[in-house]
Amino acid sequence: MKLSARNALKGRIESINKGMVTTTLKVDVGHGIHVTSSITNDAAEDLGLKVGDEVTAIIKSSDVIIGK
Amino acid sequence: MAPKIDALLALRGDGRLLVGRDRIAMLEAVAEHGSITKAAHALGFSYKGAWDAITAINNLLPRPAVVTQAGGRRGGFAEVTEEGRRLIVAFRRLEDKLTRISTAIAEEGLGTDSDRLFWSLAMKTSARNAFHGQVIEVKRATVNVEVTLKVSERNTIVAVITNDSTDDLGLEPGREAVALVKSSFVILARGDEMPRISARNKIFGTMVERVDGGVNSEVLLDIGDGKFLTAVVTRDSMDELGLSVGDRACALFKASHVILAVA
Repeated sequence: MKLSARNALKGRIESINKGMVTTTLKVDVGHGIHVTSSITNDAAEDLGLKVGDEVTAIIKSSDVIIGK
Repeated sequence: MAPKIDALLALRGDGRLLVGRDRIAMLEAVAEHGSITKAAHALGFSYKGAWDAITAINNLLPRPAVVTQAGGRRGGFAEVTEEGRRLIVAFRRLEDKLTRISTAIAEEGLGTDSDRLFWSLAMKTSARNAFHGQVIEVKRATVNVEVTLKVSERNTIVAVITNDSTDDLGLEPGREAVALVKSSFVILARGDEMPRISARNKIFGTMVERVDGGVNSEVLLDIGDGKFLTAVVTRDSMDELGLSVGDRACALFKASHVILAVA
């Protein structure tokens, strides 16, 4: 799958927290870095996401905030 | 909420604006304050803006509407002439008539959904993508609400907004709303397959235009039913995707990136 988003971080789902509309999941992308993602329940169900699944966290470069 | 029609009266001479509401308000302020400086200040105009407006009226009338006297330490003195006062009265009288007509149109004519299309045309925002549609589903949770908007025969847009916003906007099935999506929120994929990603909104279209800047590319997709979607992605991405005009593409954006607006 090719996307225009410049950042694609491969990792493994370490936890899934399903709310009434939104599912929050934590992805361990290695190097001690954990990415949190908030997606709709429908999206989580469509993708059949489970803890341990290999996934990709996709972030547009224009969405990244830089601190120094 | 009933839409309001604000009819603007503008009197023209030789095709140029002679007086509109702003200039009449300026004449009234000069009459009240006896000074262009004070009138400009009261209306929040610059002195030059006020002076230009009055000069334009004076130039276009047979006799001046305002006479001025250059003023020493206490500033200039300005007076609205009999001609100017007649202009104010005539303008306000015409405006009252026009308001009665526009009020009647608003009461009689703008009750239907199709007439309400007007407001989405009138709305101006910086978001490149604004899709008018009808709410078909509202799914509530404790904090967030998932709202589904049908924007065309083939496309729906899902928005996740807060409960408070949903209540403020009075969103419920059947209600008309506009979905706003900044072009920079859109991710593009090639359009030959459905991408397996969580973005709730996946809208397929045909690329009709690509404008390259130094860093970014602005891409226009024809998404059918006469609607278009704009995406801004990096030029590097476009080159890697190898998308060209005429190719099918998929525009992806998160439901949480959609802003909803109502009249």
